[in-house]
Amino acid sequence: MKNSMKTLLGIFIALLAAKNVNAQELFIYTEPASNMPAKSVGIRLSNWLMEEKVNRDVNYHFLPEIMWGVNKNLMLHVEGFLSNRSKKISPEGVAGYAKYRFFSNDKVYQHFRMAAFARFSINNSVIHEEEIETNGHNSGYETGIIATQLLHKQAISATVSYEKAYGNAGGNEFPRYQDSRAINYTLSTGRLVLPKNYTSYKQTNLNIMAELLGQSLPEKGKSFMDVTASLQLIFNSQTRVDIGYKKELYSNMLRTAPDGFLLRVEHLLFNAIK
Amino acid sequence: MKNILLVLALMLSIPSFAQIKSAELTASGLTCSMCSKAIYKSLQKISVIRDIKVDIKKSSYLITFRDEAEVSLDVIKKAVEDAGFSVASLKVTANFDKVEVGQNAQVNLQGNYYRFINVSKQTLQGVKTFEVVDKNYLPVKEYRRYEKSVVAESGGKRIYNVTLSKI
Repeated sequence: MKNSMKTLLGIFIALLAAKNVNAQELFIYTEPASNMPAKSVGIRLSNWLMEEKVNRDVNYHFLPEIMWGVNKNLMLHVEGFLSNRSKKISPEGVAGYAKYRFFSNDKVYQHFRMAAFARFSINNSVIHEEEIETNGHNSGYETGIIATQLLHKQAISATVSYEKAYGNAGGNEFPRYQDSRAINYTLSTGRLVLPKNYTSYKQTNLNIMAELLGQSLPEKGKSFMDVTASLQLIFNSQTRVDIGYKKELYSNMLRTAPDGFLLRVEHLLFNAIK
Repeated sequence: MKNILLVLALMLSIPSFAQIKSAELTASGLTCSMCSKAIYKSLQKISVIRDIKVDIKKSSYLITFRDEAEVSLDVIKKAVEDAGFSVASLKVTANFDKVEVGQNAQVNLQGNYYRFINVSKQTLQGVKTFEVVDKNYLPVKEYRRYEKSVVAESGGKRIYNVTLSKI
C-alpha cells in the first residue's frame, strides 16, 4: 500500500476513534440521512478535478445543483452535468434526486435517522469505464438507504444502494461485456475542529471528514474501494466550502480517473419558499 | 362522560388574567451551528415572536413574545420540526394575576387552554414558569411519565398539558 493511502486510511481510523469532539454530518462525498430545512433552497456547485490514469490529463466535471426542502422529510435536487471531455466544457446530462427521511430518533446532541433516496440520470457522454456512476457519467438510476448516527462526539453514516446503468444518450450504447448493475456502500465520519466553543452564527466552522466509498459489480465479481479526506469551512452558518481528495485504495475494475480533488461551494437560502 | 365533564370544565374556565411573556425552547437532534441557524430562521417567521436569543452550544432559544399576542405553542413546535429537528423541552413564562390552579385545572390564556397536571391546588401570582408535557414536546421516555394524564383536546379545542416548573 502506498504511503498516501496509508495516511488517508489513518485519518479515517483516527476520526472514528476521536473522543471529546463535536460531530458533523454534512458529508462531502455522501448525503446524510438528515434533510435540509423545509421551504429552504440550496445551491451547490461541485467541481471535480480528477487525474486521468493513462495520460495524466485533468478530467474536469462541473455539477451545478439546486436543492429544495419540500417539507421536513422530503428534499429534491435537480442537477446538471458538464465536463471538458470533448476538449471544451460542454453539457452532458441532467439528474433528479429525491431523499425521504422515514425514521428519526432525536435526543439532545444526538440522533439516529434513516432515509431512502433515488436518483435518475440522463447522460450523453461516451461510456469509457466499468465503474458505474449515475452522478455524472451514466444514464440510469440509483436507489438506496442511508443510516446516520449523530452522537455529540461522533457522526457516522452508512449508505447501501443499488445502481443500474443504461446506454447513454446520443447513441452511446452500454458495452455488452460490462456489468450494468452495481451495489454501492459507503461509510463516513466527520468532526468539528473549530470553533472550540459556539458563541455566534458568524463564527467560521472548520470540519474534517473521512469517507470510504465502495462499489461492486456482482455479475463480474469486480469491485473498488476509495478513501477520501476532506476539509470543510462553513461561513455564517450558511455557506459551505468543501475541499476533498479522493484516492483509490484498491480496484480490479477499469476506471479512467479515480483520484483527484473535489471543490465545492454550497449556499443555503433559509425560508426561500413560503 | 369524561368528555362532557371536560367540556363543562372548559366552559366554566374563566379567561384568566395572565400574560405569556417568553418561552425557553430546547431543541434536540443537532450539534452544528448550521442546524441551529435553521431552527432560528424557522422561528423568525412566527409573527408573534418579538425576539430570539440563542445559546448555540445548549441548543436553546429564549423566545420573547409581543405584548397581547395570541401565542400558539404548536406553531413553535412545527417550526422546529420543519427545520428538521425536535423539541426537547418548552418552558413558558407568564405573568399571573391570582389564577387558581390545581390537579387537571384548565386555564384559558390568550385564546388557548392550558391544563395543569401533577400540580397541587394553589393560586398563581406573579411571574411563573410552566412546562409543556404533551407528546413531541419532550423526549419519549419523559413523555411516558405524563402519557396517562394527558388530554390533547376536548370538543375540538386544543389543550396544552402543562406542569409547573421547579425553577
